[in-house]
Amino acid sequence: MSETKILDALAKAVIDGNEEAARKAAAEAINENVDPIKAIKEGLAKGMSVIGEKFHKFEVFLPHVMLSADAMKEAVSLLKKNMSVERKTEITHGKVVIGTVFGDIHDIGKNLLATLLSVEGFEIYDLGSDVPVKMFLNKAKDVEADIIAMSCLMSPSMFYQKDLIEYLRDKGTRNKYYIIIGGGPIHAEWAKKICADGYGRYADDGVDICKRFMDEKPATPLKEPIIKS
Amino acid sequence: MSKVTFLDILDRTNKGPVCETKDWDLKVIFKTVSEKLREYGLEGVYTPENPLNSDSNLANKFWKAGFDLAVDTGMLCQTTNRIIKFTERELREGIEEAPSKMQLGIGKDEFTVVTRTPSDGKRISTWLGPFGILVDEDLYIPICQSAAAYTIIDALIPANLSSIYGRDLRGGTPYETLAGKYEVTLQKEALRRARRYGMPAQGGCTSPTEYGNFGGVGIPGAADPKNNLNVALCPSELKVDYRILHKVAHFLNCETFIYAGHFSMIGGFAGSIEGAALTSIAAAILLTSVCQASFQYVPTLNALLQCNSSRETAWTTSISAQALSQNTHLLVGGVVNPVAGPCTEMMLYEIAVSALFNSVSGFSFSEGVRSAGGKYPNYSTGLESKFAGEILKSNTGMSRDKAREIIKTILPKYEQKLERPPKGKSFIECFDLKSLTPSREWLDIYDKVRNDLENLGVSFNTESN
Repeated sequence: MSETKILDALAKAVIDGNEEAARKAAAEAINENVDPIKAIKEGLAKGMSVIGEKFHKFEVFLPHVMLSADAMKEAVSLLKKNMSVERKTEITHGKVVIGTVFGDIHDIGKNLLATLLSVEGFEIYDLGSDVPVKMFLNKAKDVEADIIAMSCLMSPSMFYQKDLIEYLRDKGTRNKYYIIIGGGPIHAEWAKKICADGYGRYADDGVDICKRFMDEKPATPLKEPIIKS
Repeated sequence: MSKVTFLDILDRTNKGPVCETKDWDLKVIFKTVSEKLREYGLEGVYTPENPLNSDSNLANKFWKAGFDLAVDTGMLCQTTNRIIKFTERELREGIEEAPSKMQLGIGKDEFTVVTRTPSDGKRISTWLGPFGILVDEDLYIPICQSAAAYTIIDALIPANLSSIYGRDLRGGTPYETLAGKYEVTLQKEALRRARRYGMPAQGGCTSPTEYGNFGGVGIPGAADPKNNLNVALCPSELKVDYRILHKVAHFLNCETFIYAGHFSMIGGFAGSIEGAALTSIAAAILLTSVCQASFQYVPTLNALLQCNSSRETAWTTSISAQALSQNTHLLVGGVVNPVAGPCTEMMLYEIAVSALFNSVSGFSFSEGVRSAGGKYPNYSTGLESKFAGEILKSNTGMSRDKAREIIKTILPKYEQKLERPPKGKSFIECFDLKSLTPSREWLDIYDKVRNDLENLGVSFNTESN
């Protein structure tokens, strides 16, 4: 199979949300010595960008996006096996521990951000919903996360975003992670008040902010959070 | 209300088929909804040119598909990862057993919530106020009072307290249990000052978990469970957990009714615009049994914009409300959830659209107003609730065709701004704290938009209600 056809097959597998096809196309890419980074950027990511555009027009829906992301992750993990450590870092944006804070079981916004971040090359550790502060912190420590992302829809649970940041500050480890927050009752003033590093109104905003964290690597905590509202 | 007892429900949370949440979201819900839409020929029936359904036959087809969906899926208990399943007969009996009218309020604040059908001219019940907006402790009473003082509003949907005696009110902690009663005390004071002594409210509204309800409802000095909107809100799509079922158990122990809710998300796990209408219908059916509900609110939201004032949410809600009201006597309601903030024209136009489709589509009641999408603390005033109440109550007899044409004229005024809506002004910036009246600027905006809407054919004649 030609390189172009392999790249097309990778993109199509992602667009179709077909894990099996993604695995096959990734195996083909490895057999045919296609540059794995090219396979990811010009194959899988291209497919994901098609899905992203369609989602914004509601031509496809959250389940499609999640299935496409799963297909992409599957292919990326195969392609990564054949990469050197240096090359792996070229495509890994960073590690994100994400969840909906304690007392809150709403997860659509969190799922969307987790999915969009994973297709952008972030390594995602999704803790689900109703997540206590300690669980965020333990996971972030275990996986040596770069970013902690906390979502919240119910206002009495938003204080856990503050608690986590204050805990890190009091322990003297606030500079270890970028903290990004979002959700229904969350807004720019709250992000400033609790000294978060970023706030995004929509999942896309969250992705842009996380990319800025990893691309620009500003010292955390940021003096002013990056706000997209 | 259901013949299936609450103990049966709890048993099913332990014995039902096993299902992980991700499989539920992606495989069970999305797949079954898609199958039902195909089976009943409902795929792609929405067109942007028609933001409010007026085809009763189409609504009936949605009803059949939604009922089928409820039978096929049941509801997932996320605590035990088991599905609470029902037979068709059980669900039909649940609907039959549910009340067709309910009396709420005391004395001069008494009113009856009744079953409605589209454009029937019957009274719609207005449950309005600062709907879950986070509010500072010192502003809690005036903000609630500012809405309760308008008699067009039947029941108060109060704000969420941000703190209790200066301490952050953290969900799921003893602060929340303590705050349950404290919040109800403040609500009672707001109602007393507004001279609405018998007005029902939503005590325990602050509560994301069961603790606020334990502390705020049915204990000495707290909310009277028989005159309180006892809420159990389930996450989308068609999921429940033990925290919510704890609330149900508590309300049952209080020997009172349950008011269950569920938001269906367009673009979320239900998939398409039509898919969200189906899960909304299925939710109303299932909540009757799972939460033993006497009332249900089952609105739809746009998963990206988090609003229900957009073109597609108007259509989805209208068809879901019509499907339910034409085929059952359930007491079902919608919400008014604008994303623009107070003291903006956009917010009032958004409210007008939501109130119109709720009013003419057969809902028995409507909740609101979640000003600025609930995003900003203290961004709520009584005036938007009054405005919603006026439109809700004055237009129940308007034909769906007329409402659709009016909505089509209003939508272009703000559609392009839904993604980045104006924040507007906070309570203290557009309401006088001493007299509790709207500022001149806010009143002028109200008058301007009202005048514009009256010219379009929207009635503000509330005398009959």
